[in-house]
Amino acid sequence: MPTRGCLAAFVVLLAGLATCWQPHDPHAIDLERALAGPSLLHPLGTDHLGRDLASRLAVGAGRTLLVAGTALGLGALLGLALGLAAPVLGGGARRLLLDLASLLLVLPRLLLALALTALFGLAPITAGLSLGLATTAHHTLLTAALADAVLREPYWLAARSLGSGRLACARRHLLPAVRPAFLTHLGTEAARIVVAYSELTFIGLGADSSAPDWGTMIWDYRLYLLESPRLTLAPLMAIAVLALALHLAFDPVEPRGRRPARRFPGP
Amino acid sequence: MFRAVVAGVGLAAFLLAAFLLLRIMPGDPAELRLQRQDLGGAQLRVEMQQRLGTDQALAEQLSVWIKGLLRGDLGRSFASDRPLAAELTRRLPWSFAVGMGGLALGAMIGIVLGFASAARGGTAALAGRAFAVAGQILPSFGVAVVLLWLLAGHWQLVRPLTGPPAERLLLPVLVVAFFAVGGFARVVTRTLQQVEQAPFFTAALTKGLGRSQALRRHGGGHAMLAVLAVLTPQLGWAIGGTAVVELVFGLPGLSVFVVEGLRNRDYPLLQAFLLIAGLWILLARGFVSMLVAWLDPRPRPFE
Repeated sequence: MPTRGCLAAFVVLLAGLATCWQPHDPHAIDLERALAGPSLLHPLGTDHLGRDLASRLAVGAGRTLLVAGTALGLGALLGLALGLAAPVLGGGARRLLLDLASLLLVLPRLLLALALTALFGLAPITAGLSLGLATTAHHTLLTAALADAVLREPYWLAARSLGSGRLACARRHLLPAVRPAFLTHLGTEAARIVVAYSELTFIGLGADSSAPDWGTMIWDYRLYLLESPRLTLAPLMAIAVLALALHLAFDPVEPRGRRPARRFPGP
Repeated sequence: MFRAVVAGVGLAAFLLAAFLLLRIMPGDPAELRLQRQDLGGAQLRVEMQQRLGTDQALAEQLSVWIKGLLRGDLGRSFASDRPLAAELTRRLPWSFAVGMGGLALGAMIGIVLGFASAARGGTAALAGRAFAVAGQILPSFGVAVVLLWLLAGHWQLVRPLTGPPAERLLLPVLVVAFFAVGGFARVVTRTLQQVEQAPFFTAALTKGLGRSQALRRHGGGHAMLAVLAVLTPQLGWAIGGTAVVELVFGLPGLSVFVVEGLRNRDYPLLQAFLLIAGLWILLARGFVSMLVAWLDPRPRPFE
């Protein structure tokens, strides 16, 4: 686990550093150097307008991190609050909240996020808010399922019968019990948000087409796939590496490979 | 019967909420349409609003829509003025084929992979896990673009943009399947590992069955139930969730049409889509729950 956490921290730190410093101006157009291969001056080469690919990737990293942070923060807060409130309140409120959440889950996530970005716009912060809202239903259902298991435990009944209030009980007993599984879920969710943001910018409804988002870059550069696949593959790799690092950081280690075969009981 | 009524009322409420939410969304369909034609001005805008009917009161618009639905008329697109029913029936099969074809192929590969990894482990287990992780960290358009580049551009094996429909569908179905395999394989493996712990599995082994034979015969039902549980939430995604893939492969599907409708604030189109998607979900869920009841005859608590 710690190595995986370090890996994620390293990748995120790298992306953060890249946001603060780029080798070139990511918007500087230089048609003389269009589609140039990697060189000392341009470590990853240049795109069809002669812009430095590495610098554009770096700016995209920062934007992606901002989106992921905003979306995770908002989604986790809302989902945790609603998901804990539903089982604790019980009765009609619980029914309403959970039914509403599963109804929202029916809509394809991408469409929901697209509709929300149509409302808020597609700058990193607003895209983060949209993705956070679009994933809230998922968080809510998961938290509610986790909390339900705690509510069946005798210690919950004991705490409630001792006269502790619902809110206090939820903080003392529910939150710690729900936290580990929720954090794991959040890790996979972080990876999914990185991917989802690239999809949003790839479709590009309301996106700023000059901003170097990874999805936008792939949309632009796919036309040059045959001449220089490097342009498309580099942002794709960036998405995959960031998502993989986030995914691994929280993914529980699963029992892998063949389990020891059950021995046939001898005579 | 009772459940069908509840579902119908739920769908109606959902559509009503969607109807209102769409109109709260910023952006005026009349103005957006004028913009696309490079026109503007207050006079034209009022005329266009009258033509689209968005100048009327909400209740009036709602009653127009409901009356149309009762006649079986989905209305006309705000963007093209063409009747939606015809357009949607032309586009629906494409999206449906990509979504359902991909899910079915993914489920088949996933089940085989899951079985193999539970029975033998080794390469199959590794492949299942690789698919699961790849499905989480790769964007579908990226896989689509790379497939397009390698198979169609570099090696020229398929003609995804110009070939007959089956050839155009091949790569999109592969992409959707690629993202579905991991989940199915994982859930099948996990279920079979639980089956291995069960007393009835030991009993099967004592009868003299081999491991993989016993898994097939006594774990198959459990694995199918788990697959159905994973499949159900994904079914919703079969209509309308494949926009990115359709965009890359230039398919005239429903999903890209809906994304376009979202951009144009094409209210009738979005409403028609939500109606179709809602009906589809209800039907699919009903069918799956019947299938589950048939596969799993164990009594369950009264709901």
